[in-house]
Amino acid sequence: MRKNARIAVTGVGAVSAVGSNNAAFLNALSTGTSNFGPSIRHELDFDSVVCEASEECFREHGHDELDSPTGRLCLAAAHECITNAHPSDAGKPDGLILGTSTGGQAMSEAAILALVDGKSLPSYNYRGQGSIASPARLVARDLDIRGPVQTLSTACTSAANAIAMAITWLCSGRCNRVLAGGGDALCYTTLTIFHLLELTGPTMCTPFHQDRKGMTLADGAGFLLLERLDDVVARNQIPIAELYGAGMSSDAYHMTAPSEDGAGAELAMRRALISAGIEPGDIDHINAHGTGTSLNDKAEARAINRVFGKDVPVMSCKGLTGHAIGGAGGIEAIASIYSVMEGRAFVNVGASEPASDCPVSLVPAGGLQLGGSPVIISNSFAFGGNNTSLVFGTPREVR
Amino acid sequence: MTLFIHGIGHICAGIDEPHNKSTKRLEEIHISKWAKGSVRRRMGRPAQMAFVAAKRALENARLDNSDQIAIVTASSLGDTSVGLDTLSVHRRTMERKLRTWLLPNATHNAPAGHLSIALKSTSPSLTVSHGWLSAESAISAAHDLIVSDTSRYVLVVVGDEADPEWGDLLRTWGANEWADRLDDERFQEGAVALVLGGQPGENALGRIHSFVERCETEPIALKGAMMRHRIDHSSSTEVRIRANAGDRDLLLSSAEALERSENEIHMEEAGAGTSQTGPLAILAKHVENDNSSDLLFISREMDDLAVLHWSR
Repeated sequence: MRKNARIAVTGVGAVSAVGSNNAAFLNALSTGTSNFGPSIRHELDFDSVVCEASEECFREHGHDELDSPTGRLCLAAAHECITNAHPSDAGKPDGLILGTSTGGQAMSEAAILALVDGKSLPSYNYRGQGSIASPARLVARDLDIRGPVQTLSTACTSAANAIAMAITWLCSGRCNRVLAGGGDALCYTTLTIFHLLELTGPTMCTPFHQDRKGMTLADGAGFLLLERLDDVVARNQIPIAELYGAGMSSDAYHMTAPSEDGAGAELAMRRALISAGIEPGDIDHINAHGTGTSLNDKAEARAINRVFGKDVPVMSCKGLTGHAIGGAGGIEAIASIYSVMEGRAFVNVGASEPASDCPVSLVPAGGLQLGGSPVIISNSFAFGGNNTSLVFGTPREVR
Repeated sequence: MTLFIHGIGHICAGIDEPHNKSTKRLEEIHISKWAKGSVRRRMGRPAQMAFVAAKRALENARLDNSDQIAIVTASSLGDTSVGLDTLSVHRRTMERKLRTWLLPNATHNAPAGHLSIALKSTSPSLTVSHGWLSAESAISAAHDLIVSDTSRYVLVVVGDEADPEWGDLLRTWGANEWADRLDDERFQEGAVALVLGGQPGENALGRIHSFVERCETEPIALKGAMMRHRIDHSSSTEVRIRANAGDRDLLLSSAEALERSENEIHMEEAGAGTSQTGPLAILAKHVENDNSSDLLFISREMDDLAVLHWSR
């Protein structure tokens, strides 16, 4: 992806099972404290461990209609992002790209199941509440975003792709300030399908661990406010980070399994480095996709090893937050930005030593100091063989 | 940047394929020419339709490097059949069979995944969804991939299935706009594919430009949006409005913005009540029938306005 402008991050907003605001997320990253257990919101006929967000993460919006859990989760993260943006902010976003895998599907499920049970859901409205596009409509309406609004739905890369595509909106001049990211709240279909495909584990996930047993599904949403760096500098504001570049690829291999050697993941990372104009040796830390499944961690580790060697410290947020599907890329981008801001890598919760089939180095308990201006790559991979890598660092003029 | 159409392919009930008049479903999806049995069986119905449309578009475009093409797929509903199958596990009274090999199709980007595997394309693939404006949103995303040099060509595939049980559920809920559409003769399932590029080439089938914005639809706002996106509608001899049935505001606004009389603008009779392929199916017919007229679609759904312009 070619860039003709540099992209600044001027705000972040994360909500997840570890907390309803940025401070809670940063605290969880720093202490390695996760939050998991059996599902409270969903009545399942199989055992599950999930990371569910608390009720305060699902923002009320003051409209009359009932909105989907995903919409309300995204709304909370979007508001957190706008609040987090610098007080001298030049104005509200003029574009929104929202990534989500299921959108308002939980509303449709509830309506269908109520119908089957002979009940009704009187306020249900498919377009406004149940469709994939409904969370973006809710966020755009609530924040009164005038301009292009787009919903990307590429499963677990949705939010990462939203952030990547925001680069084109800013570089082309279509927008000046893009809110990009995404989210997903757990729904019955997601929980059932991942269970039936035997991708979820019986305990909290342990990315890159020798005995890893599968992923832990989660609620979560994360958004970035992105602007052209020149515009931010022109108003004497220091951005919190720079989005150096993005790379996207397809595995062209299998719908649900990564290629064994991680070729698609490698391609996305190499394309991100080219987009960022840097070399593999410039990367100080890797925020891995790291779902805790046998195949994914092995493929990703091999790809990382080929691009960066064995010594660059790797962590996955999923041992902390679980896997928030369409929101994961947004949350993990924010974790990467916090690593840039704090100059340290956060602990890889669930494993301090990598499995024998994962040739990488993991960030140990207590985290690692990275030095003054670290450059970090954040990976997201998805069903359909969809891969996206984002590169973040300190804004280069102010390093 | 202007995009050029290099190939078109479609599989649409009511245009070129036999279909069941009451369910609006295609009688058969003729995919065996391009996909062997094991591959075919793993695809849900939307993916199969997308696959056929894509293959026809690529043949039409005569591209010899389809392994380097980026992919943008779009649908509003996704694979509703698999979703309902999955819910049937929870409520066995639904009497639908769970076909576990189809489960991955529940993700919205399944058609894009199947296409990238079949084409051996390691280029990026995106899936968008914007209700009845999904086609316009997909073309806009293709534009972004081309303008950023992410890919030279983009295969855009837009489609949706018509699952009769889904339609029945919507009708039972009193989701009238949708039920009306499902009752409308022109809600027919299908998929349309376009091969788009940034250069005209020798055999381009016209130029296409599209955007989706959350904006007002007063004449001045509509005019401003089209100017911002450099849509030159001066020669557009055919203008079509897609909006909720009875939405005359958009018709009146468009007439004023385009400086035309209402009678010169075609209001889709059932509002936006064609399938997701809506504007693209009409566009395909124009291109293939060698109709020389330009086409301008102005569409609205809820707060969002979409404009799609094609000229030969």
